[in-house]
Amino acid sequence: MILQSEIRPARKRARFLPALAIALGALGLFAAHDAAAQKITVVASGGIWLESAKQNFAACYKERTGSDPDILVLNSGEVINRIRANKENPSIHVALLSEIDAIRAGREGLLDKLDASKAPNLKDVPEVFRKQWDDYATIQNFGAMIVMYNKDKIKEPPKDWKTLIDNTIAGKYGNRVSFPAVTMAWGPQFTWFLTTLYNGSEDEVFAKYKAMAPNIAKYWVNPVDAINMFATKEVDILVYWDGRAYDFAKQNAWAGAYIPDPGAFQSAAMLAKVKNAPEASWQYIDCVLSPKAQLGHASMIKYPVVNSKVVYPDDLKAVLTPLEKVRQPEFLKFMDKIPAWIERWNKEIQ
Amino acid sequence: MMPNRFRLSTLAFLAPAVIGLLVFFIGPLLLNVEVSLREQGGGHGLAQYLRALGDAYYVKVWLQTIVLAACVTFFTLLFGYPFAFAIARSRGPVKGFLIFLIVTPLLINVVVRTFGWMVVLGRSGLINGTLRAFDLPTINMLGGWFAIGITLVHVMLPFMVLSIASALEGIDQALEQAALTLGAKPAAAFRYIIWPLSLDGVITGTLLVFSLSIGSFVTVMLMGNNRTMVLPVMVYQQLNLSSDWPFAAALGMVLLVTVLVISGIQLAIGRRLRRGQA
Repeated sequence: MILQSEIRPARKRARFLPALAIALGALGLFAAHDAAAQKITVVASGGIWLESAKQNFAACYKERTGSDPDILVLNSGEVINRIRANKENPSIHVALLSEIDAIRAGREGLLDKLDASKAPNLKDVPEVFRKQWDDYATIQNFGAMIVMYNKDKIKEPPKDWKTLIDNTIAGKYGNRVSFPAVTMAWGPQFTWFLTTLYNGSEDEVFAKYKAMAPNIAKYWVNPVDAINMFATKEVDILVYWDGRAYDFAKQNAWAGAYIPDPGAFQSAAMLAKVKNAPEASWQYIDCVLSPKAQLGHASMIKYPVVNSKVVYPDDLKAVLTPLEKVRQPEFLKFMDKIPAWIERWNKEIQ
Repeated sequence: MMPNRFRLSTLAFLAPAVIGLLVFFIGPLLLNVEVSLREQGGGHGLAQYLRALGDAYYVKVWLQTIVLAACVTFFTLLFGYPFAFAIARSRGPVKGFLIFLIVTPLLINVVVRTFGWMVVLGRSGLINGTLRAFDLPTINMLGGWFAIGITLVHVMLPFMVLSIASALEGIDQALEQAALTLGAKPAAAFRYIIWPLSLDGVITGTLLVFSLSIGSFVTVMLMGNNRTMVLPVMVYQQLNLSSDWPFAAALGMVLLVTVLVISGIQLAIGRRLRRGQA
């Protein structure tokens, strides 16, 4: 026989256990929320870049905070659109942007100004890498658009850009040449660079684009598509980024890569802290800019980095485009012309 | 009382889907309409639509988009119908193999399939390699409407084949046999029995393929060039390069309305055809 007094504690237990489970659950949720608050989301490009971000930047961040960042592979347009979509609670905390998107994001109030008291390695980044962005972003690494060519087909590659353009117009390379399109993410910068070769005349540059068109296999928009065209020997001359070009040439004896005179334009990846992102984001930015991570990154992706304390080994230095060979585009002078350039490109270059 | 209760329970079952549609489809769509009406100096108006429909270049792009989708739909139907017929009439392992053939490409990302076609159509690709082996001149097939068309037809084929095959499988073969027994030639049996009864599948397939083709972006971008501009690529440019959201939104709305109108016309034609056959 069960006594009433024995039932009561059992009932109490029955009431207490669910309450305890709820309390523990709430505690767990709170703890999970706290952990999530420390979790940051950052951006990288694909391929070897992603590997470098994991090995160099994320590893440093984990060493400092004990937490792994979530790394997303996104292009600049996707990054800025995602930040715009949720400004109060951004889904990306440390952004990797193109130079123009970084200026736009700064103007739109989507970014926090970089602060050397929160990311001390910023002190070793020369001002030239931040000035045009009004300290809303810093260059993380940079490259240049150079020329790749098929050594078996092109015995004497043109020494300078103007000769390359004139030879292409003359049909000297058949229609086996590929230049970037204005509609490629860094196309407007390339167009600006060409204007510097033609007395600042946009009209002349567009006339050259138009005259080259019959002998251009494709004005490329997608970088993967471009390198595939060259790798499958669809084109003999390709205007492409230096790091990947040198790396390709190193692995394929038939391919060559060089910087035509008078140099190239600087093509950079911009690092920025998104407004309303967790404070831990500063740790990641500081990691990216630390001399150790910067050197590791340069070694892997073969692009120059910006921390002035980085000392490149000789073999690496040989394949990095020197700073004196690149011109930083004057973004503020031409970025408002981009929509008109794109419209002109679409309508005129057929 | 019963019908009311039935209506209430039906509504209850429909509610999640309706709420989902309102929140995740109609809501963003209304937002998009609002963005498309924004004008440069502030305020709202039809400036973006007038730009999209009043400029000869954008009208040409709009027409190119429709013609591309229509051609892809036509060729997908042309190649897909016999394949669907073969699936519907085969049995056992052959049927399994044919279904496997048509479904497998769906498991591969569209970007990979597009790069695959680049390898086939490229200067050093399969076709040109064969031509070169016979000392024939090579053909530049990449970077144009042909390359885009052939890739899109390949990408869209499973949607057409599967829609038609399911309709063909529902046709009672005794009807066709009766026609043949009564002296109809195979072509007549197809014309008066099989084709009308498979129209539902054809309409579903063409609607699916047309709406997917008109919005296709990756294939056009990778296989085309500056001449092969279509509205989805234009929207991408305006969003990511020009950062002109109102114009991108207006182009998106033009695309959506185009799909809705053409789909409506397709459905009306289908209905008329079915009525005519009945």
